[in-house]
Amino acid sequence: MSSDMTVPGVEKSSSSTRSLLLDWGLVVLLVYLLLVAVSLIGTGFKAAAGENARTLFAFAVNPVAGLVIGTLATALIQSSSTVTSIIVGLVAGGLPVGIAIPMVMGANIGTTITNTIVSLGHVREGDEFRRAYAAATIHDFFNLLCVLIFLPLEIATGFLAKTGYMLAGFVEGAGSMSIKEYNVIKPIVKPAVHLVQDALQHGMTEMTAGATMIAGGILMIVVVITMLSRLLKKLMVGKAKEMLHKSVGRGPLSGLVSGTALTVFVQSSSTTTSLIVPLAGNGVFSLRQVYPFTLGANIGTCITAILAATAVTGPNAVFALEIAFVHLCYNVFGVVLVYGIPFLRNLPVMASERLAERTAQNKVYALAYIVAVFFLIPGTLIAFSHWLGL
Amino acid sequence: MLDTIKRREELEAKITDLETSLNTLKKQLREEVQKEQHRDIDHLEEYLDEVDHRYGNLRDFWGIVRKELRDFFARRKASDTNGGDSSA
Repeated sequence: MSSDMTVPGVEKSSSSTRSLLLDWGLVVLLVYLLLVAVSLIGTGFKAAAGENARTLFAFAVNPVAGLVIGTLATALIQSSSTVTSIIVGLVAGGLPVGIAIPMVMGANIGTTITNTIVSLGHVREGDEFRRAYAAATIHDFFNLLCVLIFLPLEIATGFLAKTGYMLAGFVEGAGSMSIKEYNVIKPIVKPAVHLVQDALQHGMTEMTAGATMIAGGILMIVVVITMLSRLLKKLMVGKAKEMLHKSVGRGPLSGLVSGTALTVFVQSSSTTTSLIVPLAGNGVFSLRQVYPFTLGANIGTCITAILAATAVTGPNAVFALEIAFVHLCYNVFGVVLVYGIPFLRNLPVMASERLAERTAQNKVYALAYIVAVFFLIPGTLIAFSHWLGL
Repeated sequence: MLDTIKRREELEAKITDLETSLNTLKKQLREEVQKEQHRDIDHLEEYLDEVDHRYGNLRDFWGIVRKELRDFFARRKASDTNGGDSSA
């Protein structure tokens, strides 16, 4: 038999296996680049500003300013994973955790603009639009409610920072409970960061090299998470279907777990929350059925920043992990408190249903809502807090 | 007395029948809904495409909002003109 004879089916299957392996190889490479990018930001700040890095962030000491920065940055980039990873990098570079906490809360609000835009695709469909718009904005109202409850609590008690620090200590600290010795990420990220640092410091001043690393790191995070999310969507669509099929008819906890897992798989909370918009718009899933699913997205999105924080080295490594855990704790506590108490649980449902009814009658409400929640109210809050001298 | 007991038993039997029928109908409805949900989940790829093309939605939406705003100001202008005429 001649060796160049090929069987079409076998050739097709081996080429698809090759392409699958290539795709997964690319996923690994992108995750590695994400870790390098976050470390680059931290290293860049140390090179550019040294011990003065903290003073660079003085403009965001006002918690409302931090909240607004997080909201606007996420609304513009449309990815909370990207913004929280950048925040982790900034904390690694000297941004105090206290300033970063309102920023991650803002990231939760900012990310909700994506599914609101997706719901506008049903704008000509009457009842379908009303249902889709309610499914999109329930996430907004839940996140707004969480900020209203947790931001004043955090300012008064610092409980999120304390819990985050405790968890970070478990991973990064020097105590007997620490799992620091088992961290394999740092040793593989360090050489790449040093390589970039050495290359830049040859032809530039330390400050310019630092600034270039910061800008390059931020740009890299944006590009890498966008590519990663697109690739994972393609690779994980089958798994996502399987998971959704399993959660049908199983109650809110199953929805919450599915939303979390799906977001971890596709590395994008806005993809998860946007997927449920057409499902709810068709009327096949009710608003109360999709509600826990969107909350799972809040929890699942934290994994990117936690992963990114494990790569940070130096004295700020523990703070980088702290802010990543603060984000996780904030989202878990939010679900437990707001979804756990029936009165609070129903507020986002009622608010989104009412807004959707009004918007279905008059589309100008949707425009007014987006402008108000994502731009006008944040701007007014900043002006008001400055006036109060916060 | 016997009649009353018999009547009550008949009513109880009717209620049991109705409850059984209601439960069967509820189960059927739940199964129908779940079947529809599974069918919808099978279209997940299309919904993922919808997420990727969201900026097209904004253009479409903006066209509708502009039209609604134009109509609103036209109605206001018309009512102002009518009000002005009547007062003149």
